[in-house]
Amino acid sequence: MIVDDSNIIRRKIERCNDHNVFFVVARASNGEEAFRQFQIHRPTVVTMDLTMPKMDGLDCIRKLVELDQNVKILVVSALSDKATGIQALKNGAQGFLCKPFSDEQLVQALLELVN
Amino acid sequence: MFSLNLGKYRGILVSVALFLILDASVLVLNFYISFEISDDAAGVNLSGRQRMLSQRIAKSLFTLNTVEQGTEGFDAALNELRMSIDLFDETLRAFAYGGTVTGADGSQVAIAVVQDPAGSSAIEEAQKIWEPYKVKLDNLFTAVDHPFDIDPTLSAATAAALASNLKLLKYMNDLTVTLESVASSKATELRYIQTAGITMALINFFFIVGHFVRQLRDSDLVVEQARRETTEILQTVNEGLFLVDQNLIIGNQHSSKLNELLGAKQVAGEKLLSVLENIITEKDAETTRGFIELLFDGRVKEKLIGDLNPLQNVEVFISDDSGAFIAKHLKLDFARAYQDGKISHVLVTVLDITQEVVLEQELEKSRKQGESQLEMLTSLLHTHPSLLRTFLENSRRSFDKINSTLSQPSKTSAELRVKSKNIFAQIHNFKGEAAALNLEYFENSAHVMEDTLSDLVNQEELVGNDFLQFTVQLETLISYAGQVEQLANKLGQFGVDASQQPDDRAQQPVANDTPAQADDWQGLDDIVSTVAERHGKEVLLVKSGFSEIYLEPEYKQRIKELSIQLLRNAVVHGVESPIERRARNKQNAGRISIHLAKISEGEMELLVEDDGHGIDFEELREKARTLGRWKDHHIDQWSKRDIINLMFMGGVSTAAGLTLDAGRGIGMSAVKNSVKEFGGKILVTSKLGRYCRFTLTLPIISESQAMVANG
Repeated sequence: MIVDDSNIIRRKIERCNDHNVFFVVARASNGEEAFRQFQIHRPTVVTMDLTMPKMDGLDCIRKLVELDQNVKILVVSALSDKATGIQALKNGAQGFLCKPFSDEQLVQALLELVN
Repeated sequence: MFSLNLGKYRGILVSVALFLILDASVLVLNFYISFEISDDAAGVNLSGRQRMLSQRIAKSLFTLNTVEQGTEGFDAALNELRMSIDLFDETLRAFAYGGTVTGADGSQVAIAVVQDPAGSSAIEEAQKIWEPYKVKLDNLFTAVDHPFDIDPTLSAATAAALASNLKLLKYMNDLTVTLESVASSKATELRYIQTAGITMALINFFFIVGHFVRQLRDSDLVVEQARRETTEILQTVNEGLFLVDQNLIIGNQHSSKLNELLGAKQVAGEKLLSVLENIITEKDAETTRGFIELLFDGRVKEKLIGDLNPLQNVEVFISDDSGAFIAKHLKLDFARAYQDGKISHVLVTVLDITQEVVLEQELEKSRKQGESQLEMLTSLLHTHPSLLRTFLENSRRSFDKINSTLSQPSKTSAELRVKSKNIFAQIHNFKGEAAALNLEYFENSAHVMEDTLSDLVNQEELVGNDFLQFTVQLETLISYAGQVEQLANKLGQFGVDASQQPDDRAQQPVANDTPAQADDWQGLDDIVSTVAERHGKEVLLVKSGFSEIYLEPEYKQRIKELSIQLLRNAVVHGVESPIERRARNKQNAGRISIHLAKISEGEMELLVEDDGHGIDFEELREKARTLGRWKDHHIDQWSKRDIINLMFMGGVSTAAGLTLDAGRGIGMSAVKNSVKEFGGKILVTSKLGRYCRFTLTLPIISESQAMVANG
């Protein structure tokens, strides 16, 4: 599942997956939507932006992990504040990818996440 | 894990097992033999008793012979004889065939068949004598138990006793001696076994001890070797290396370089954040704590959190031995360290990345320099072309001199040193001229070249090749000067300042420093028409007063630059487009007047006025809002004065976009700075939709001395 408030970033992430390593089951533009979509589709891997309207990434990560302990979350965010990134990982995400990123970096990070 | 280590401990385990088995065997044998010895002792006792019983039987018979039948003594002797016979018979049988007999204390004692040949033959012989003897004795008891005369049977029994008694005693004695010797040999056997067992156990023990000591010594050697190697590595390695545990406490071992890098004397066993306290901010310290906590959290992917490391570039200022501070850039890398598959520590590597950072900064600087070159080229627009030309001519001469100095043959270090000193003087002169004209690129390049040269002068041994770096720098500078010259020529053709071109000057009969002429200011008309054309505007420029006041040529040039800025501003921001003007019932062509007048002794006034739409304070306020530099509620409170100040501030412009003429927001701030430099004043008056007027009060500077003092 791809969670990002920017549709450009969402498309970019989806396009990285041209190799069909992953199957995108859902997309969301904010935390609340992500939480709803998650309950329906139960994705195994989630890419998560941090600054989003309605429910931000930090809260969303916490709620997703509450729902599924085994979900693998990759935070994909700009590195304006490292402390927020660290908090995201403490909330249950397992990796952090800094924006801007290359297609290869994203695929590598996702593979690292599931291995 | 156990099976892994068994190989190493197999020898010792086998030895210990052998030791235990040996001990157990000796113990079992001991028990067995001691039981046998105890049995043998009982046999010896009983055979001794047989000796005594054989004698007692004889004694009882003789008593019966002497005591009258029916008396108490007769009965007692008879009873004793009966008991003795029974006991002797029973015991003898037991010795021969095995069985239990009544012991001295009345308990039943088990007796094994005597195996020893001497013993068994003594028993056999005793039995041969005992059997007929016992028949006689039995006959006596038959007579006693019946109302027969006992005398014949007593006599027969007594006769048998006389015949057998001593033989029986002998055989029973032989048995006793035999049994005693068997028991004694068994005791000896037991001693041998015990001695052998203990000896073997001792040998085993010494083997174990020896083995242990050897193994300990070997492993100590390995440990010692490893320790030495670790120490050597830690002392030699160029990075700061140490481990921190989950409580962020630094381990006891760390590389020697660490103290130097962190500028801390005591590091081992300290809290990491206390050691870093003085070189990182509190916020970074907190982030570092969080980051290390993540590393100890096995769930998080180590490879995917590197970006979050807050200490990728820490700038520190550390005082050296002489007390002077050196700036260093450190990078702290963190990596998990595992023990038994669990994250036990975090390995911290402290790297001195100063060189990389400096290199990066230099790259950035040269990139910016590239940009500033461009900026400088545009700023040449505002530089006095004749001065620029002179500067470039001088430069060319300097470069030629330097080149000829460089090509002179010189062999010794001393000669080369003199050479570099000469070149240094040339470059220094060039730098001075560049600085005077505010040509920063030239000035900075010359500065760098001066550094290169002073390094050469200070170098102990100097060879021709050492000038290579300087030669490259000089080449770059010469080529840049060439580009500037080309550009200056183009600018001259463009007509920015045609009157100042040397070619034109040659045709003019009057020198530059004669009192002001209208022609000097002719360029203003050209600029205004060019700018107006570029912006689709029509402008009529009215000039006055420029021939009245004599100004020192350089100062005049500066005033002209000021005028150009103000006129550009009036064209771009003041005068409306013809369509707008028609809508406001104004003539298509905007009117801009520029006026220079002496207002007192030593003071003049430069006035620039346009009949455009005046200053729109609200528009400027909105413009300020979009810049996002100030808070909205502050902008709301701004007075008109604040907004005018804003107009003179660098980086603020109301032009719709960036153009050659306006929009960079530096023109008006340059005006303000120049006026300030000259010690003048600016007055702004405006009416929305009608006009805008800038009145500059400036000193009159007519002598070059004054200008030099000011510049």
